[in-house]
Amino acid sequence: MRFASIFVPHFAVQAALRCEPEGNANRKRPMVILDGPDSVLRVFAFNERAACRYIAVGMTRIQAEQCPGVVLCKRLVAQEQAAQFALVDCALAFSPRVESATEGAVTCEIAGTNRVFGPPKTLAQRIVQTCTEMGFEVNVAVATNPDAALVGAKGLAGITIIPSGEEQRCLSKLPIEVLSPMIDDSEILDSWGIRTCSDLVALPPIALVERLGQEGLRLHTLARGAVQRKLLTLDPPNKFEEHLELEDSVTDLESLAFLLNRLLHQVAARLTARGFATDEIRLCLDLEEHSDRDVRDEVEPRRSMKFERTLKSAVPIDDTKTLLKLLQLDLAAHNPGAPVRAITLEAMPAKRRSTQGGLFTPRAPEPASLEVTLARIRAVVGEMDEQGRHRVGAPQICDSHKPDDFQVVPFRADNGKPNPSRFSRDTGVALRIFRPPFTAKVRSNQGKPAHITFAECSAPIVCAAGPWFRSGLWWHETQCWSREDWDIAIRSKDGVGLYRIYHQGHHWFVEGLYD
Amino acid sequence: MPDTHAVHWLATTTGVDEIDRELGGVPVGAITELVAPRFVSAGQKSLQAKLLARATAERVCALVDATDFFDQKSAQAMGVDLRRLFWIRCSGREMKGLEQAFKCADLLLQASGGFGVIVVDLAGLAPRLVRKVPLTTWFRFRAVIEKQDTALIFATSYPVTSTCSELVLTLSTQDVRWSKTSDNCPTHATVFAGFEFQAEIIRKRSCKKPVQAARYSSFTNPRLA
Repeated sequence: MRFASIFVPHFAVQAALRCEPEGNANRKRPMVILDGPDSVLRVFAFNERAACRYIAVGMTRIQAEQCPGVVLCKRLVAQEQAAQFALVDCALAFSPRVESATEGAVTCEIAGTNRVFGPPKTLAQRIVQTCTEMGFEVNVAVATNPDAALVGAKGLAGITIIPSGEEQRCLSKLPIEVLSPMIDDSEILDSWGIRTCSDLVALPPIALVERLGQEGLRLHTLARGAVQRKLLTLDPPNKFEEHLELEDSVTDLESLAFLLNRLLHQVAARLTARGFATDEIRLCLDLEEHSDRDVRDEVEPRRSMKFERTLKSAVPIDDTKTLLKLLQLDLAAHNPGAPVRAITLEAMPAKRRSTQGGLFTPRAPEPASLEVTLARIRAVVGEMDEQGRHRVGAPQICDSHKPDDFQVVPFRADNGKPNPSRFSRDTGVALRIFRPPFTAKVRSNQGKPAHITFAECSAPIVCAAGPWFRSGLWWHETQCWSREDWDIAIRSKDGVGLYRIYHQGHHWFVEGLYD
Repeated sequence: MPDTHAVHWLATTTGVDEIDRELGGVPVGAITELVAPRFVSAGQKSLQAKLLARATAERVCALVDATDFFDQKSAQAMGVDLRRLFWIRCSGREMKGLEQAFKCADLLLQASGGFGVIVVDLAGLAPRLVRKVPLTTWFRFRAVIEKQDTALIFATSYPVTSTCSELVLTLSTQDVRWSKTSDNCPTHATVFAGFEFQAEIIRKRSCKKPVQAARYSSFTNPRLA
């Protein structure tokens, strides 16, 4: 049985960096994470470059600012949670059995993956590559037990393969801190001069238990790399959410798109690692609300309000460019209307499309680009009409006797299968229906329409057929309808016009033209 | 001598036998214009529906409806597979509808491709509006559609595409049929039975000299079918 552990050094720093648009540039700079109330912010974590500038945990913000070139950043628990989920997604790309060991570390069982991913070293390289795509710089260690792998990943940079039976030798030079001892025990061991795992292993275990209790035995076994246990596997979380808080509010859509692009890349990388695409994106923006007031007044606390948009696509999409374009078009049509302080982006996972192209299959629009075209067209014609029906999509007739009762459903390029046999040579007459119907003035003679005036037409009726009475929803107080239909023909200089007209209440309407 | 009436272009059949026999259908990768006077039953919408019925049986199609006049029930009765029809309902009977229709048609052509037939229905718009469309627009459409395997059809009330279209058909009513037993038949016993229309080929670029052919076809009211 083999286990691979992924460890993210300076996890809090990397969690903050992965969503930053300038994350890669900041990675090479000393970075410090501050935590606590705004009035007493203290250093919580920092990277190696910051350690070189004599930054230490617990320093105040002012003290940290004294160090030149240091980038200060406030800790966000939501970002760390998202980063941990992302790390789990990384591991789930290689194995279904994953344990989220501690913050910034995951362990997965890789037994039986040789045929899929190759030998452990190749697998570890692929893990590093996947983690890099998600914005993490990680250490990976492979060992025969999960704890030895975790300790190895914590203490040894890069990729480490610990052969079976050589755990003790491989871990011997690691500092005692990688075993995560309790503070009291750590101080005691330090006072004894125990600095490395090999020092600890050299101590007699019974004497160690007498002095440190069971914790001492645990540390001793860990240092030898001899802990045998089963993984505490977790149910894979299906939450693909990224959060970004901004120090300075964003006021224009272009800048917002730049930030959204970063978040989308993170979400898409996680979805890809799990073999998913998305058919629904939920965007939540925290907006800053300002009100007009006298500047001499006391400083008004900043109020915030939420702006939420849900973007649904007819097909699952995993292309970030397409998703970004859809978000941009949606935000252009629905402007947040206020500066943006924080962004939360959530993607609903959906099974990827699997289509097999055929040599003789007629070409259809590419679904992802069709979604963008749909969004562009929606921006031109609008989303809905006055009746709340979509303006773009595939028509669907409702199961009702009510005239012109239809709805418009999302159009999919793969809707239905080509069926040439469906076509029949039966002829019929198409109706050109007027929405809304034209109001008409009709003069009757002996109970039948004799002359009609509507829109640009005013002509005697040369032939009329009807009436046919229709009604529906008579049990409904407000939606009940009844009408009297007529088919009429009028002659103009251009030709004959055959109309369907109806009489409802005390009014005449022209419903459509047989054309 | 080559037969100028022979079908030598890639075409989508219309589903109307007389037109298909004469032309082989409407050209693919080119503009076709169907012209019929406004507010006249000339078979323009029925011809569109037949064409879409034929085309949706094989590929997905798009309908850019400038005036939102498309009736799904009659179209479905004529065989249109509504699930495979991408319907764009523009909002307005005036210039706004025209502008929207052209923008949408442009987007469909530029971005997606892959549609078997794209019908842009401008027939509900007044000729004075359609005449305002600059000639450069039609040339642009022609240049774009030439590279695609899509039949682009404009339904208008006035011939406007000029030399940019491969085929121009002018439609007119020939006869209206009413089902009645006698001249004194009461109106409620009379039913509109259908009509015959004439399609006149005004322009066909693949022929050296202009073709003036006239063919008749009829549509029957489905109530009597």
